[in-house]
Order: sequence, then structure tokens, then C-alpha cells
Amino acid sequence: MSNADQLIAGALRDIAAEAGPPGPLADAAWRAGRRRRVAMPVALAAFIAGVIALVLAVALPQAAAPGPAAAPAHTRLVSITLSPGPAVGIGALNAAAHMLGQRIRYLRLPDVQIQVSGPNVVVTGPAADEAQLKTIATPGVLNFRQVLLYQPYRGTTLGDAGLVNRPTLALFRKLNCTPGNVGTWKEQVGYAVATDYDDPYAQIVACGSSGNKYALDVAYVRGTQIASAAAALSRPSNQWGVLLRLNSAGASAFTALTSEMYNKYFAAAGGNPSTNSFWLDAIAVVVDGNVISTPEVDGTIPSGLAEIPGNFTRAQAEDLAAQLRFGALRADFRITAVTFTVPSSP
Amino acid sequence: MDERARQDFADFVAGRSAELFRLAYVLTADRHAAEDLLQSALTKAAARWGRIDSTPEGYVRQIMYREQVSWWRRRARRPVTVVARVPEPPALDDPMIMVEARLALRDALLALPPGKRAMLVLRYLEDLPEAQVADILGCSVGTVRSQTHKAIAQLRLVLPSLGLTSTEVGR
Repeated sequence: MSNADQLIAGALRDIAAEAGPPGPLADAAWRAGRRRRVAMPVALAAFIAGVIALVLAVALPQAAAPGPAAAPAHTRLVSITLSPGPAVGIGALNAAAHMLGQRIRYLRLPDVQIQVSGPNVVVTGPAADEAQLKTIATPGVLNFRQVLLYQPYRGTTLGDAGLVNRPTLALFRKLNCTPGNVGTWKEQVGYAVATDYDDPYAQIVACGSSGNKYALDVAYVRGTQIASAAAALSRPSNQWGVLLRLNSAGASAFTALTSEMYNKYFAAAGGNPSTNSFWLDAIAVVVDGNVISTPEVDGTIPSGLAEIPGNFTRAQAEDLAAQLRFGALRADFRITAVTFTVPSSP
Repeated sequence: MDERARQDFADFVAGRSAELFRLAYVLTADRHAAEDLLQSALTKAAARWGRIDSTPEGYVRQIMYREQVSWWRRRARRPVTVVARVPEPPALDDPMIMVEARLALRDALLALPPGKRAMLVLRYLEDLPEAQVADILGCSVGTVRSQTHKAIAQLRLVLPSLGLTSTEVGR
């Protein structure tokens, strides 16, 4: 095979790898296949034919229905209401609804609807998808920030406190991160509105989901500089991550940032995570104030292609890609109500 | 008797469905459509279970391929998806660029009409000779050749340096 042939074969394999496991299939296929075979001769007989046809009409579409993802019309629904902090105009609401719609379509969730309702945007879908819908409905403001201080859960602080400004250092000392805490830690340091932690020109503190604590530099590369995002299976680690393509401004900023970090810290770190340099050579990927990944810079990255590695499941990687791909929602949109309904039978 | 056949079928599905589903997904580029396609192929296999001439797996694969191509035949006049982004021709030896090329190629493959993608799956993923592709799809070698050529031409819009020439695919 030529190089290009291999490229096509590789890309096809990539797509195949995204398929994941199928739903249960054997029983329904067997019933449908056998029923049809047995039913046909019977269907020839006299007036029963009509009855059989009816059975077939009901049985076959059922068998062909996709697995657990397909929601019958009468399943319980969840409605998630998103409200902007201060009231915004209809244009901003429509823009938010449009962006959520893009995310939903990218994730191919056919049973989800988005409406502008009064001063809010309402996302309605199967109750079983509640967690996923909540993730999709978060703003998705992304920043790349150099790690200045890192403290593993109940461990020793590494990095360089000299690079951190006074107020941020005070917040770092005050903050107590615990595993699994991805929301309420913000209250400890008085981060009340999104601009407290999304401001690219400010240093921030943050928690990671496993209880690690960070002080992070200003954001030299921002989510607004993303041109495209897709979930991808990393080789050779075989883990799901998100591949980002930055626009030209983002690409040159990213090149500058990574080359500076690499030249300053990579050699000194020697790949040892218990050195200060190792953590100063790490970029924190921050989404809505939470650190989701801290890749080490192991070379200058020139092409504007960045990979967010992580121990993601395929679904998590896709949700994240959907969040980042179309830009962020207005950061002050928040979930203000979650209600469940059981629609009456159609 | 039927119970044994049912168990036999269940074993086949349990053992092969993950692999077959991956194929269905490449062909349809959609999880729901892939489940539908595989389910309908398995239903046909169940109806003929015990009387399938080839291997069950080959039979199911052939049904899926043919269904995709017939779907595409019905829509022969479907407009070609215009790919807006035409990036710089990448050099195919830089590892970072290879990732970019892979990503662009992935998007372009997913944008192809299903029938053309089915051709490429058979030719490049399954690595089958043209004659066998024609056999599976029930069309002429000439059709396989021209469709593959058109599909590659469409991919080349996205990746100009994709070094495939008409002589290469037409052989």
C-alpha cells in the first residue's frame, strides 16, 4: 500500500474505532427473522392474512429500532432551564439556543429539543440523558494556562511561588481541594461569577477532579482561538482525548508558549513529576474554571494542533469536543431549574 | 432444532457483533443508522440461518454493503457535499501534520455519500481487489473503478497532496 492508501485505511480505522459497542441485537433479530419466515406461509391462508400483516407491521419496526438510545415518545423527560445572569436580549438567547443546537446535533441526540422561553433557554430531552445534557449546557469556556503551583491532594506543593501574584497566592493558601469536588470549591475563594475564573488576563486558582490544587498563570491561549475540535483516540496510549485545531492567532500564541516553557523547564524536569520544573512545564487545560487535564510540554508545538489528553471515556471526550467545537456559551448562563415531566401518551 | 439454531445465532452475534457494528458505523457514520443497518442485516441472516451458503459473517457484511450502495443508488442525484475548508497541502511525513491529515481525512470520509464510502471501505479497509468488490456489491468492475475514482477525487479536495492518481486507482 502506498502512503496515501495507508492514510485512507487509517482514517477509516479511526472512524470504526469510534463506534463503541452495539446495543443488544441477537434476540430481536432472531425473533424478527424467524417470525417473518414462519409467518409468510400462514399469511397466505385466508383471512388470517390481515392479522399477520398487522403483527408484522408492529414487529418489524420494533426489531429495527436502535438500541437503548431510542426513546419512545412517552419516556420521562427532563427540562433544563438556562438563565443568563443579567437579562439579555432575544438575540443573545437565540445565539445560545443555536450554539446548544449545534452541540446537540454534533452528538447526534435526535430526541433533544432546545427552545427560547421567556428570558431563558430550555433544553428538553430524555430523563436518562440528564447528566449528559447538563454537561452540554455548561458554558465551555476554555483557557490554556501554565501551571505555576501544583499541590497534589494531601501532598507537597511544587512549582514556583515567585511567579504567582500576592492575591492569587493568598487564594491558593486558602483553597482546599478534595477529590470529586468540581463545583463548590469556587465558593471557598469567592469566585461568584464566571469572570472571576474565566478572565484570561488574571491568574487564578483551581481544583482538578482528583483533589489536586493549582495556581495558574494568565491564559496565553484561549478557547476563542479554537477553529475545530474532535474526540480522538490517541495513539499509542489508546485513550480518548480531544484534538483541537487552533486558528492562526491561537497557533502562534501556542507555539510561543510551548517553546518558552519547553526551553526553560523540560530538560531540568527530566520527566520526574516530583520536581518543580516538571510542573512549570505543564499546561493546565481549564474549562469553566476546572482543571481537566495537565499535559506536560515535551516539545514546541508549531502547527496549531493541540491534543487534550485525558483518561476520558469516549462519551466524555465527545461531550467535551462538542462543548469546545462551536465556541463557548455566554459564560454567565447557568442552570437555574431542572424539572421532570411525563408527557401524556400521543 | 430451532432452539439449537437460535443458540448458534446468538453465539454468532455475541462473538461478531462488535466487529460488524464497527463496519456498520463506518458505512453509515451514525450510531443510530448503524444499529438499524446491523439489526436489519442480522434479521435477514436469522431468516436464512442454516441455509446460508457462504459464512454467516460474509453474508451479513454483504447485506450491509449492498444496502448502503442501494441507498446511494436511489439518491444518485444527491448533491455532492461541498467541503468548505481547503487547508494547505500537508507534507505527509511530519508526525504532527499526519494527525492533522488524519483528522481532515476523517471529516472528509464522513462527508462522502454512503455508497462511495462503502467502495473505499472495501478497497482500503478490507483491502480487497476490484473484482471482489464488484462481486460483493453486485456491480461491474467499471463501476467500482469509476466510483472509487470519484470518491478519491472528492477526498483530494480536502487533502490536495493525497498522492493518489487516476492510474493508481484505475488499475
